[in-house]
Amino acid sequence: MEENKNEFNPEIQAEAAEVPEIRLEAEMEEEIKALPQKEGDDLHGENLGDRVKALSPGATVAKRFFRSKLSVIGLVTIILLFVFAFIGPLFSPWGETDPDNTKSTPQITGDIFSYEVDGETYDGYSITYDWNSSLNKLDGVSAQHWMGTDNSGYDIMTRLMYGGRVSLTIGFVVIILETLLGVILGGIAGYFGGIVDSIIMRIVDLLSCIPTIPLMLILGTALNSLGFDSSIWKLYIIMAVLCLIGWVGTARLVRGQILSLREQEFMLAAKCSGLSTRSKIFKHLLPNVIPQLIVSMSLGLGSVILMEATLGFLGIGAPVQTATWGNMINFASQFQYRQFYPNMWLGSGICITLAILAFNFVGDGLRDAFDPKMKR
Amino acid sequence: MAENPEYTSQSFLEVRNLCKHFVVGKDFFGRPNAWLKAVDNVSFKIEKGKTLGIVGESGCGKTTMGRTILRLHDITSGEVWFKGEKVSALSNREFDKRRPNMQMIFQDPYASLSPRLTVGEIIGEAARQHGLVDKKGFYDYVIGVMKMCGLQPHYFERYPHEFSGGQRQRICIARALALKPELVVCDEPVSALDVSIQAQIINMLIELRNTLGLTYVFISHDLSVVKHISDEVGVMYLGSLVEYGSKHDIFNNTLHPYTKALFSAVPVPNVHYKMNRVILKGDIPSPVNPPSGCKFHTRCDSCMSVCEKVAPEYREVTPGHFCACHLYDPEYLADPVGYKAAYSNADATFASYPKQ
Amino acid sequence: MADKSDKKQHYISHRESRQIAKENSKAIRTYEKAKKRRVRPEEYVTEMKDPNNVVEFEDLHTYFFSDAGTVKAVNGVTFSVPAGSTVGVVGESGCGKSVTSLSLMRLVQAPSGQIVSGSIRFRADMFKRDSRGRKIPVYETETDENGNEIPKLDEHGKKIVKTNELGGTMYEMERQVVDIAKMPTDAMRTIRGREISMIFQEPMTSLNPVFTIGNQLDEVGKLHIEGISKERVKARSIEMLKLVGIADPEGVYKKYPHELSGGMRQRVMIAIALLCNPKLIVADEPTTALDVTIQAQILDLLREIKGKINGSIMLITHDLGVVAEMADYVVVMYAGKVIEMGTAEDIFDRPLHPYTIGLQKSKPTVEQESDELYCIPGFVPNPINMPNYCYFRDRCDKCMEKCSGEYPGYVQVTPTHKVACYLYEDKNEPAKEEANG
Repeated sequence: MEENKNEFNPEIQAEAAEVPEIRLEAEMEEEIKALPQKEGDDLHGENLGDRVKALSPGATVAKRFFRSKLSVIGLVTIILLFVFAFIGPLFSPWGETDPDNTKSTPQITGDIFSYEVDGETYDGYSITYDWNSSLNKLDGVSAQHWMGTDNSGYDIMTRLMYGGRVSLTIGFVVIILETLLGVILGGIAGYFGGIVDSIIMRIVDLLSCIPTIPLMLILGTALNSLGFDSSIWKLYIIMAVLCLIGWVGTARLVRGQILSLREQEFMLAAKCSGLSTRSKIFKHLLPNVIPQLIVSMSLGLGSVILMEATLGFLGIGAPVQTATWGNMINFASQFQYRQFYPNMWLGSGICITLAILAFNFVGDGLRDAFDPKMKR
Repeated sequence: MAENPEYTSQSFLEVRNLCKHFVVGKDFFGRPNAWLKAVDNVSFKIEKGKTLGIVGESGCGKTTMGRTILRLHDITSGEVWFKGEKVSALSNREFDKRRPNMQMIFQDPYASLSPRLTVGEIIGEAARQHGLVDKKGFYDYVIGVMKMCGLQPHYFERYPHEFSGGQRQRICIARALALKPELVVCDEPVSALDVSIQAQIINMLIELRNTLGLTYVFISHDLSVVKHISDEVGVMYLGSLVEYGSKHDIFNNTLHPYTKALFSAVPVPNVHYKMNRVILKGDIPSPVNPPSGCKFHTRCDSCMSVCEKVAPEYREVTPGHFCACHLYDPEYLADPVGYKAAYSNADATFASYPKQ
Repeated sequence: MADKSDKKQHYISHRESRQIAKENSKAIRTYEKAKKRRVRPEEYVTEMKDPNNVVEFEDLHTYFFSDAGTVKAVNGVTFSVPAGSTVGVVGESGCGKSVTSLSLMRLVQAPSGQIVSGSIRFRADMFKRDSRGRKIPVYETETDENGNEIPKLDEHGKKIVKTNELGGTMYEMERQVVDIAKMPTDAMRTIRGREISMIFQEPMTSLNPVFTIGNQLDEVGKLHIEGISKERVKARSIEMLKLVGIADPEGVYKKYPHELSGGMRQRVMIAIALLCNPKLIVADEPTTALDVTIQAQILDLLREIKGKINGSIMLITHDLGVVAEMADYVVVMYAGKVIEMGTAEDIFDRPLHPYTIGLQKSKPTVEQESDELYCIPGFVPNPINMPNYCYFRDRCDKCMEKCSGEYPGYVQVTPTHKVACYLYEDKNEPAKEEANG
């Protein structure tokens, strides 16, 4: 040890970085022996210190999460929705797009017209029963169709399940892509600061100026005219665009977190140890952002599902024959369905509400669970 | 590479006119127009194997100084020489290779450990990256360091939050020592700990210094701790050293009024000991707008008219004992009136630094 | 590598965790229910053991029902604060000294923290209440021509209410000894801040940053001095600022907390604490966050003020030096229990408990030179599931066989000096031998 220190030479030092020193273990052993052994003392004190068991980090979070009834309800609801969407169709005799031709039901169509009585104009509607349809469409609730059939003769219950698949999957894919983009860009902005930070944050500012719904309306129309109107790709493209403008929230969050973490003493310590940038970012910074990310993801999931529903309702989402919750709620925009066939849109409405509520409950629960300042 | 041919173990670490100014105000065009002079013209030297204690109140720049020496802050001006090498002139990449040799122990054992890494990883990570240990020997190496710092081997896989302050500080020390440093800057390593744990950590630091031949820069606000551990002591006030000398000089032959006041302010655990206390008036002035002349004149009880206008020179009063005060300035004492006139336009003249 | 079995042993298993949660929720429910119950005044009015005392703690237990188990933060604490004196409570972090003071203020973080048993008797000036629970004001009187005292009337024919020395409405008061541990929360509110006030450790965070200093002082004044006029409140606030040695009280009155330094803020905190002439000031580490030179100023101020206001101070600190300087009586706590108490001379000149001795020896001093510091080995124990032997046994260098037995009782060494240690069991009267080392 001693000689090594006296002949200081920068070159040797530089080499040392590449070539692992060999003297380590043996020398360490000696150093340890040379030191008065304190272990006895510590063991002594440990009896009381170590006697107490601690909660493991994961258990602490789980405990706090499960303490809140709402978050448990949310979690159960999410699981039930997943089971419903992904396992449910296996038990259904109907497919997503096979119409029921077994029996024919009369179709009710209505029209608004005005008529005059004694010089006063009144509104009224005509109801026409079409007895000649070969499809069992717009059937009511029955043992065969638990929620009836829609105007194409598809089983609504089954389509609700398939719709759940699309809506939930889209939710997850979009939120994961958004978060990835946000973490990378926000992380770069926060860690490197300076001009990089300025550029990224100005892009964020610009993107958050864009109104989402009008953009989607324009995009939907454009895609329709480009011939995407009956392809599922229309939905994918729209969702990709959603990702492209949706990462800004995550980026802001990550940047803020990293800015504050960067000033923490443990980051100074990492700098002081001469750790590489990669290790500083991936081992010291990002793991500390993950709790916030999980929270923002679970809260964001709800809003993505809601977005899909909005697009569906406006008729610019997935093609009409694809079952999504958004498309199904679109029935409510036509007055005769809204009026006479609540079974066609009520189910998807309830599913959407449940999913969003559940994700929000879980998100809130996670936020409280991860927050070390939460005492209760 | 700037090498100092005169390097001896006497000037193991040498700091010359070190300044660290933070920009605290910018004008409309982003040009800085206000500075916080956290460290202002600090110079000292440490011999290898010795401990330099730096004392001062909060805001006096002692922590900033420690960090600036290790280049955790960029140096505004001045030089840092470590083992005959001008490390302040190295590029960041070059300096990173020297880092294992110069380590730091931080004040807050709660904030200075990454909360999501295991103890073993915290201690050994940097050693592995710097090639001090390979993957195979990693576990044994880390366990060795942990034992040296009084940590149990089975802590290896635990997380920092499971430990008390004292144990965490041991982890911090182990992290620093795992890199086999020669210089350790201890930034208030015990001020966040309980008294009984403080004694353990101080004893351990002294033992480690003696067995491993470490050199410490020991920063603390606690005079008694500094006295216990240091060979030389520097007293800082508003970014500058006001007094510097051997432990004996500082504690038995105190010169600067601030040092005197600092000593008498420490409460003593003895009921019969009623000290003739010098209680300083007022608060520490803001380092953004330090007082003119001698920075301490606003609180000094032996303030003279010259102190308000002229900054005293930091000079060697007796061999190895430096002080920045007009009370010990032979030029001023010889001719108070003429001195004032000669220096009335001059700002601070801090040219000298300790020569031993 | 550390094997899995160690990990399993170290962490609480799922079953244990469920067990703890079950017990906790049961305990918390019981205590919360007891708190919400309507309490008649007769239930909490008691008698002091020694009429000279302002506060008496008796066998106080305050527990925290945490996820890792029940933390017995205060585990049978008995001591008292005599009128007009300063009592220093010393101990390391986690020894329960802060929780003791929070129990006194009834500010323990509920629902996990609960005062489980014991009593805190406090001699308070309580408002006299009429049959409908209202305070009874005192009216100005004059003597009529027959020599009878009749209430003085104002021009509207209403009775004029007397003002008290602080400028507020005077109510009929009665001196009562109340048990704070059993008191309902609303009655506690009339004591908190008025009769007992508290100075916290962090002057940076205990002032609200969005209100001016004057605002915050006035608020306390208006709350506790009923019927006081705006001008009187302001005058009182400025008077208090002057009392705590602030050179420019009118200027500081208008300032915001961030414009003041740490020492000034602590002075403001003291001013707030003094506003209602409290009988007892609880100072919880009042100088820990301050620099030594500022600490010296604040300690000086506290000493000065105690002489002026004729109250008592309960000083909670970990710094033996501060206690030696300030306190008349000292209580040393360790792991939720009082291990030694006596006058300051007793504790500093003739410390008995090995912990007290070790604590004093382990602090380096500026005066003495020593090569190696004495240090108490080991760590402060985690106060969960404490065993029933002396908590200091494993760190003690004078440990005997007996120490593994039951937790030692108190030994009254001199009339003022008590210690909980088997070493002194035979010295139940004046100490024959000084234990200095």
